[in-house]
This record gives sequence, structure tokens and C-alpha cells, in this order.
Amino acid sequence: MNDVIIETSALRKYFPVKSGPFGKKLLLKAVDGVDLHIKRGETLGLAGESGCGKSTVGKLLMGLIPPSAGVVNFRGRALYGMGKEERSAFRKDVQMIFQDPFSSLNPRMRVGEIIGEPFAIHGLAAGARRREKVIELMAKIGLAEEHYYRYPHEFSGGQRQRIGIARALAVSPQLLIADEPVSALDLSIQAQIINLLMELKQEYRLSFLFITHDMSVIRHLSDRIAIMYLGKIVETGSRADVLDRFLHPYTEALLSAVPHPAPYASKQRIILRGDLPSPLNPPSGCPFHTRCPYAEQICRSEPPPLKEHEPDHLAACHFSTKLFR
Amino acid sequence: MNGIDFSLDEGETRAIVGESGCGKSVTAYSIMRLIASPGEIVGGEIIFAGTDLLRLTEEEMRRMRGNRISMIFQEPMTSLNPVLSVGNQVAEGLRLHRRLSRGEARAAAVEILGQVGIASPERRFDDYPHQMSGGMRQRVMIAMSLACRPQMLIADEPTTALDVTIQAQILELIDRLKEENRMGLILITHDLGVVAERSHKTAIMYAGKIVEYAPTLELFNNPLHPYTEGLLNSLPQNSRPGEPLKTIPGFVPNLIEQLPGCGFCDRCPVKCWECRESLPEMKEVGTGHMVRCWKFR
Ligand SMILES: Nc1ncnc2c1ncn2[C@@H]1O[C@H](COP(=O)(O)OP(=O)(O)OP(=O)(O)O)[C@@H](O)[C@H]1O
Ligand SMILES: Nc1ncnc2c1ncn2[C@@H]1O[C@H](COP(=O)(O)OP(=O)(O)O)[C@@H](O)[C@H]1O
Ligand code: SF4
Ligand code: SF4
Ligand SMILES: [Mg+2]
Ligand SMILES: [Mg+2]
Repeated sequence: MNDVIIETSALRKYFPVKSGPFGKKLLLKAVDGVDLHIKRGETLGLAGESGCGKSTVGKLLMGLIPPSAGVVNFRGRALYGMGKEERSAFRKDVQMIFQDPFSSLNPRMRVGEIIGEPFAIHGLAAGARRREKVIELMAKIGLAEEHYYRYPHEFSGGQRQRIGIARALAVSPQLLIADEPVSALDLSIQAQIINLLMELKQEYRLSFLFITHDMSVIRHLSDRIAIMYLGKIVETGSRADVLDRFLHPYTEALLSAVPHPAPYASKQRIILRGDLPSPLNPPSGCPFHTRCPYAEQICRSEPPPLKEHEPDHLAACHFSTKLFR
Repeated sequence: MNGIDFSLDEGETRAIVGESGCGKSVTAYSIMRLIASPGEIVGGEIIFAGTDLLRLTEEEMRRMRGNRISMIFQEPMTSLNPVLSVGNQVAEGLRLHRRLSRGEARAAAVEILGQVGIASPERRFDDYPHQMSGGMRQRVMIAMSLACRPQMLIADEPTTALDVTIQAQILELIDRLKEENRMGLILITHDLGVVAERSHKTAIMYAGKIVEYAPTLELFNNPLHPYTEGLLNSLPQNSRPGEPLKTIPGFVPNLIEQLPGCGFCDRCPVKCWECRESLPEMKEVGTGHMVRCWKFR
């Protein structure tokens, strides 16, 4: 039950970028030393502000982009040491659901073809057998058989997201990477898709990497949570550890910034000063020190290591215990 | 967006909440009289400080916009001029409406940029929008819209494109400036959390119509319209983690093929035959609590 399906160690992704038209080449450290793992049947929620590197982690785990350094292990095998056959099996076992249901489906393909395409790619089913499987999947995600010959533009955002989900499920993956799968959807549709994902997770015993910036969604469906800031994981642990017994000032600030849909719920809000620093020029020492309300001298020079403070509860702050215990 | 009746006193906040495409921005634009053709305001009146805005000439309205009534748009990047420095964009309104000299306008713009939390505003004055982060651009938009100390501000999803920690900063800023200037605020959003914390009275929109309007506390404690009720119930905060959320079945209708009856009819758990036939009027049910639903008549 507790076997690890995917894990990364010291994972890095640096993008070369130019600063200005005549500027010198700089390295943008989108992911800067990430260790994480997901167990079978588990949902890991990955949260943090835009640009902190969440999607890049997702793409690295999918093998869509090569890492600059570090390793991704899928069921104990290094992703970048896999042979052709193993690699092809990996591409079947790990599937992705995208944020934007409008641009992620081919507008010239019929829904049946879109959902059936992975069967073709992996040579799994053809002809009437494929059609049967596609219709089975469509029923599972709440689409009728008559939708088989329609085009994506004939569907609403929520339905298109369902099509994307069916497509991802077609080849019975073990791990689903969902990058903000509900943020682009209408308010009253988000709950439907969240429920669908939770049902499918149960039914197929899926593991999930769930990327979102919505703390209420992440609380609802994660078993464990990792919080990222400027390319690094600053805190990780069980849902309850991270959300209710946090050990990092950034987690505290992030949670405190979320407005609560309950009027006049009295709440002490921490307002961070300043903007997210540029990942091209990250602060020295602790990356959060430019905005942290508790920063001290040592924070400007010494990067705090991601340390296990309690069993399976890690945080990267010099003062975790002093501040929060 | 027909049949909207929406009053606002100085220093107060009203919120308009609804799904995307339900007509929130159109409502705001019609207050600003910015509807592009072929859109048209077909009737009604918009009274601001005793004047019906729909009866003003285009010239009078131009003097009103950005001066006594101001607006912050959803997308700061598309509303800022990409080839004009941010400082000059703030200064422009001051020169136009307050007739300040170039030097005076620059000094005033620097001061306002500082007030909205732009660090070293003198140095930032000559920056172009693309050189700033999303949060900073939104602050520039706020500086522009507040430069002339308007009596009313319409903020259309002012923080939707921003992260929560930056959102908290911007909302605090708007609140503070609102207090200082005794300004009325219309906040358009789809975030029920923002509404709960910031607005005195809230209108819920669905399919182009306001379906419920009430003091915010009353609205959350005693939602009457089946859509409002369903929406509040569906929030993850109202279910235990891991349990299925309470959903509203069905899809959001598109506004083009609008049917005669209640726009929520297809998804409503308590509909009756009348609902499909004709649209209910807004009706006052409790003190200041209005709802558009045949259940309440
Ligand atoms: N200039 C226009 N011409 C024609 N239709 C328009 C125009 N502007 C908006 N609409 C339509 O009016 C409806 C309401 O749009 P509006 O922008 O007010 O929605 P909204 O609730 O603010 O959505 P969002 O949150 O996505 O911005 C939509 O169906 C939209 O497509
Ligand atoms: N192909 C690329 N080239 C250069 N920079 C990139 C590229 N992809 C992502 N980045 C940068 O990496 C950082 C993290 O990006 P991303 O993972 O997409 O963030 P998010 O957390 O919003 O999903 C950002 O600063 C982004 O601009
Ligand atoms: S190490 Fe210092 S700056 Fe970083 S989070 Fe902890 S207290 Fe704040
Ligand atoms: S008018 Fe009828 S369909 Fe519309 S919300 Fe009320 S009960 Fe439901
Ligand atoms: Mg992303
Ligand atoms: Mg809008």
C-alpha cells in the first residue's frame, strides 16, 4: 500500500533567458532542488504563487522536458535511463490534465477521436472495440453516446474538461498530473469536476499530483501537501500538518491571505510586504526573507535546509520551532 | 443585464458576484457608459449624486469618467497603454481633470504611486507596464483610477489575475483608500470569500440577471434563491475534506439563446411550471432582501 510510485531527488530545471535585447544570458531557476514523492493511491497537492515552478515540476514528472540536474524515479526506475519500451510504458502510465479546457483539445477532431487517440498511440484497441471503450469512458465522465461525433467547440468549459479527463483515463494510467484543472471553470461547475476526479481516483486507485493555487481545493482533496516558493519546496507534510500545524512563515501567510466565504469571520490577516522576487535574481539566504515578517540577520545569508521537524513533516525555516511550537 | 436596481451610499461597498460571462462586466460598463456598439443601454436610469448618467452628453460623461467615477479593469495589461510610461499614465488624468501643470502632475503622480505601495516611485515613474509584475501593474491601475479622488470606484475583478498574498495587499489598499476618501465602491468578483469579507451588500447574478440582492451577512446566513443556495453549499469549506461536494447539476446557459422563463430553470431543484413560462420579478422578501424567484411571491 505504501509503495512510492514516483519520486524526485535534487530536481532542477534552469531556463536560459536574455536580460533585455543586448543583455547577457541569465539562468532562470524555475525548479531549484526539489525532493518529493507520491505513494500509490495518494494525492499530493502542490501549491504556491504563480511563477514559483509548479507547472515546471509537473512537466518534469511527465518527462515533457528534461531536467537540468537531479533525477525522477518512476516505480524505482530512473526516467532518464529508460529504454525505448520502458519509456513508452511510462508514457501510458502517467497522464496529464491541463488547466485550459479550451486550448488543450484539438478543435478539428471529434470527441470520440480525441478520447480514442491514446488507444491508437499505444496500439491498445482498434475499430469497434475502441469505439466501445470510448463510449464506456464517456459514460463514466457524464457524456452521452450521441456526443461521440461532436467537436470540442460544441461543449461548455466543464464538458471539455470532462473530455480531457476521459482522454487521460483511456489508457488506465497509474499517475495523473492535474495542473489547475478547475481554475478556468465556472464557479458552479468546479465542484462537479472535483467530485468526478475524486470518484475516479477511488475507482481506478489512481495516484495524483494536484497542482493548484486554491487552498480550499487543496485542503479538500490532498492526502499530503507541498508548498513551493521560488523554485523550492518550503514545507511538506500531511494535509493536517501543513494546513493546521504549519511550520513555515510562508505557509502561514498564504493561508492567512485566503478570504473566507463567511462574513465577518474575525481573522488576523498577515499582509506580506512587496512582490514575489524575480526568479532571475532570487534573494540570498532564505528565498522568503524579503517578505517574511519574522526575518532576522541569519535569514539574509544562510539558506535554511528543508528539515524533518516532526515525522514526515518538513520545513525550510531557521525558526520553525521557535515560531510555531 | 436588465432590471437592475442598485443603490450605493458614499463609503459603502456593493459587490456583484456571478459566473464568468454572466454579465457582471457589462453591468459595470453600462454604469461607465462604455458599452461598445452593437451593445446598447435600452432603458432605465443611473443616478449619480442626483444626476442621471444616461442623460448626460458624451462630453459631460467624459468629464465624469476617471474624475468623479473611476474604474479598475479586470486585466491591467490590456488596460494600460504599453508605450506610455506608467507615471505619465497616472499624470495624464490629473492634467486633464485637475488642470495641473506637467511638473505638478508628475509630483502628484509620484505621491500616489507611493501611496499604492510602489517602492521608490520616482525611479519607477518612467518604467513601462511590461517592466512591472502583475501586482505592480494592478497597483498602477489603482493609482490611475484614484488620482482624481473619485467619489465612486468600480473595480472589475481587480485581483482575479493576482496571487492571494498580492490580492490581500490590493484589497487592503482599496479598503484604506475608500475610508480615506469616503468613496463608494462597486466590487465585481466571482470570489465569495472576497465578497464575504469586503462588501456591505451583495448582488448575485445568473444568466444576465440579478437574482438576489441582500445585506451580505443576511445573504450568507439566509440565501433564498436556489442558485445562491446551491453555490454556497458547493464550496469546499462547506463539506468535510475528501467527501463529495454538494454540486449544482447541469451547465451554465449561454446568454445568446435566452428563453423566456427563469434562467436557472434547467438546473433548479424546486422549479415549477411557471418558471419556464415567465421570468419572475425582483421581490422584497425581508428588509432589504430582494429575490427573483417564483418560490417567493
Ligand atoms: N462587446 C461585446 N459584444 C458582444 N458581446 C459581449 C461584449 N462584451 C461582453 N459580451 C458578452 O456579454 C456577456 C457578459 O460578459 P461579461 O464580460 O460582462 O461577463 P463577466 O461576468 O464579467 O465574465 P468574466 O468573469 O469572464 O469576465 C458574455 O456572454 C459576453 O460574451
Ligand atoms: N520555457 C521557458 N523558458 C523560460 N522560462 C520559463 C519557461 N517555462 C517556465 N519558465 C519560468 O519558470 C518559472 C516557473 O514557471 P511555472 O512552473 O510555469 O510556474 P507556475 O507555478 O505558475 O505554474 C516562471 O518564472 C516562468 O516564467
Ligand atoms: S528562514 Fe527566516 S526569512 Fe526564511 S522563513 Fe524562516 S524566519 Fe522567515
Ligand atoms: S424561478 Fe423557479 S426555476 Fe427559477 S430559481 Fe425560482 S424556483 Fe427555480
Ligand atoms: Mg502554472
Ligand atoms: Mg468580466
